Amino acid sequence: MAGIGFRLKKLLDKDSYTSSLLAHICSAFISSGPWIISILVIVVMEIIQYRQISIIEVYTFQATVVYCYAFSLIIIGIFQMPLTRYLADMLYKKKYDEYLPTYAGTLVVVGILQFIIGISFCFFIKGWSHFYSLQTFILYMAISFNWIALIFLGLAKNYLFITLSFVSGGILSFAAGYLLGISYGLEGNLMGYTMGQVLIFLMLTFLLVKEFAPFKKLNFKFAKYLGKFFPLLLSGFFYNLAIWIDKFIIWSGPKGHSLGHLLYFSQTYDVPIFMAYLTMIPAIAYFVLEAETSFLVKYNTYYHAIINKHNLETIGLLKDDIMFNLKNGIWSLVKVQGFVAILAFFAAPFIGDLAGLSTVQVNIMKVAIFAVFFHVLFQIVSIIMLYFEFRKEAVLVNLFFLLANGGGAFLSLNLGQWSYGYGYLAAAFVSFFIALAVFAIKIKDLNYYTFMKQSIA
Amino acid sequence: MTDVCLILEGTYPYISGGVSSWVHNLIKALPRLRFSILTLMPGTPAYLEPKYEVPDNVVSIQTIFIHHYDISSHKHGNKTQKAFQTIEQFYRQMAKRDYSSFPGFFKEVLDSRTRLVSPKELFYSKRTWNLLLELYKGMNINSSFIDFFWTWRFSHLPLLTLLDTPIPPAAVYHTVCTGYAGLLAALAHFKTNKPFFITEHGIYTNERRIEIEQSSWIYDPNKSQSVINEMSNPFKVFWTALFDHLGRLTYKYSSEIITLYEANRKMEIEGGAPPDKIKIISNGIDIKRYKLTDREHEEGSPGHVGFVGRVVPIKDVKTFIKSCKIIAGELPGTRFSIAGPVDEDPDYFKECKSQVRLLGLEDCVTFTGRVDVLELYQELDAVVLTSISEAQPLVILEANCCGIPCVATEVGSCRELLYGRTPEDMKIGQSGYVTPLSDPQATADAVVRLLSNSTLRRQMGQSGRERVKRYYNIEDLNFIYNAIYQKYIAGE
Repeated sequence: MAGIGFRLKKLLDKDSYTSSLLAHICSAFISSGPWIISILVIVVMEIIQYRQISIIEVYTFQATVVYCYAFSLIIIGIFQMPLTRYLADMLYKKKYDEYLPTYAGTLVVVGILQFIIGISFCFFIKGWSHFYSLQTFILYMAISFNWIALIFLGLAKNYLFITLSFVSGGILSFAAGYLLGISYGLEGNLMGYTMGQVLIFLMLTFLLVKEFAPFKKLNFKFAKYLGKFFPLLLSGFFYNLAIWIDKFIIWSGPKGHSLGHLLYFSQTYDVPIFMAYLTMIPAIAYFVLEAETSFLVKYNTYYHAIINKHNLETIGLLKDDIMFNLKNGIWSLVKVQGFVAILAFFAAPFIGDLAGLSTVQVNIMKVAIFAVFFHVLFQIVSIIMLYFEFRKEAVLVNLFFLLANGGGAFLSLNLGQWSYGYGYLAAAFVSFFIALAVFAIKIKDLNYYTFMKQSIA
Repeated sequence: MTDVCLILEGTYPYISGGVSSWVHNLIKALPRLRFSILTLMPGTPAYLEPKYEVPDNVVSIQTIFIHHYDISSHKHGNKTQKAFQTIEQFYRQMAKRDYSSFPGFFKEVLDSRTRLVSPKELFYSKRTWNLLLELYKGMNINSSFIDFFWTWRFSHLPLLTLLDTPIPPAAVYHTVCTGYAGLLAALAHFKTNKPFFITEHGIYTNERRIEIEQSSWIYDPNKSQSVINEMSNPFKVFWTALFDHLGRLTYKYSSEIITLYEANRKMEIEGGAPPDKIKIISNGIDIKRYKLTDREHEEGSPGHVGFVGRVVPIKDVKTFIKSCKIIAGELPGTRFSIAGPVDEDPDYFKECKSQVRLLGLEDCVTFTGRVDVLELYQELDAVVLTSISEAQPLVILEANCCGIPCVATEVGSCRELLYGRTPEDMKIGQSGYVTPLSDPQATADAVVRLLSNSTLRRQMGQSGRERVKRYYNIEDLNFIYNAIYQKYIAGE
């Protein structure tokens, strides 16, 4: 008989139906949780440092640590999402034995990159002793590695141990910094702080090895994902740069202090902003919890209905259910974070007193608290966008946030000190609503994206 | 530039069978024509072993794997919206079996040189999605959307893949089925402005429909219900409709339609072929090879009945065996030879053998396996065919050519082979009997009638030989096809 016997291959692309939710929840946790703890340590340390070292030295210490965080975050931001995606896929395929080799592979790649950046930077700074430069370099590497470890552990959902590690590390940073500071001043502070961060790295690595042994050989396969998920890479980069761009710009202005070659700091701007960042915690925690319980359930129901051959009407109803759930979820977030923001707003003068902030700083903090309110909502919406694979849009809103935050800070410079923080507020406010609008438009066509955007392998 | 481009599907030169042999013989018989071959195969690229020694006048063989999806993103300009209007219009008309807007659809959507939308856009776009939703609601499927979606994808992917297939330049395109190959021939016609025509042995749309009805891989939402209506499965309807549309489209734009016998012609007309385009050109055999039997059979001496064919269910060997029992009862001593390969369906062969044993026919029924039929025919008094499906069985032509009358079930072209097709043909006289399907008694009665009357047998044998010589000579077939090709090559 002439003709081709044809057959239907069930080519349901597993990856696009499942996995990545975990990756995105985790990235929310990672991109916010632990560095908030670290900020807390810096802020608390500042209080005791005034008794040990000069103001310039306090600034130098803070600037050093902030630089380590800023640059490591920006660099890691490039790897973070493609890497999480790779790990999520591997976990989904139950290839646990590739976990540790990938961890080692990532440490090598990021290590080399950060080594070059760290070395060239640390030994560039005039007026630093070799010992201080070395300390800074170690700190920079430790923090960079901590982000990596965090990505790997976050996916393993071991939040409790991660928190424990960061709290222990934080306590050690603080205690050792304080004790060593008594005898060695600034260098002692930094050394103590570094010790805490190294402890975090050791604890996280210990847990990884324990959970994912054995180790075979280095694995660099994740590098493929950098190209494959280039939009993820871009949005990660834009987002992390956006967080720092306002500070970079403010540092170059009248309230920025130059602490020697290339090292800048703004006591007026940075400290209240960092403190305001702390108010993100409830929203992030709420999101992680909510996403894993209610949202994930709705999501699974939707995909299972599709796979289990339900009709379009049922699928449509479940899609509506997801949208309803999302709407509710975002609204709850607004309420939670709104409550926290209002509380923080009224508590700001007292906290300011406690932390020894000036009136100007307290005012900036008050503005920043509301900026953080929109910022965290924006971040969560953009994470959800990535989860639904609206990647192009996520890149664009993150780029917008970057430009807006940079532009806002630039305007503030020209308008004067009273306007500090308002640029950030405006940027976060507009970015949130744009992201929300874009998402609301896209999510209406969820069925279209779910079906038509599947590749045909 | 070749003279003829043959567009084939799932056959020559990789799969052996009736159609492939036909193609092979035709190419060999016309050595002065230069052929190119476009052959569509299922699956993804792999090395395939040719089953035939391809003649030298085949200039090129291009194999296209229709499940190797390579969707182009190539298009012209940005009038995508216009293209989609054309698509929507074409599909709505197609639902009414109106394909008249195909040329415009071809130009704006399909032709890689002019299209306003790329296959890739077509495959992934929102407008296509909306069309799909409309279709889903229109078909009132109300069941597994994911199966509907993948049915659409899998049915359309090969089509999109075909769009950018390079077409070898030729004076005429000749396809031997509708379906994907038929579509490709139509595309070649619109791309090159050269005519195409079709020779259909089995009716593609029909064969596909049967295959789809019996398939188990298509999801059946009604499986749990106790009463299953034929074709109540929307996904099967979808597939069947696809091939039906492809068939109609091919018929509409081919310059002529050739088939083997009358029943096929009727089926083609049912499938949308314009009656005035259809021509019947039967299969032929090389009559020089088949000598008239010189077996002089004495009245009353035991006869020898042959069954020539593979031992497979479609040939319904069991009905033949049952009729052997009846014949042996009336004419003791009659011998029966079942000649043909037995290894294709071992289970069925085993069942046949045990049936022979149960009926106590071991002494008179022989399974010969593969034999030289030319020798066998010289020893036979009658040939029987009990198939439940046939097109134009060569065995009847061969047996008749040797002067042996046949008893055959009423399938394919058996009636016209044995009784004549046209009035002129009928005048030649009967060359055997046609019997109902799976009716051992009728088969046996006809055989007994033949075996017990040598005059009748000789008469029928002569009629058979005469008919084959006159209407089923392969030289005539080659001559006719040569004439058809030459007509197109001359540009008439």
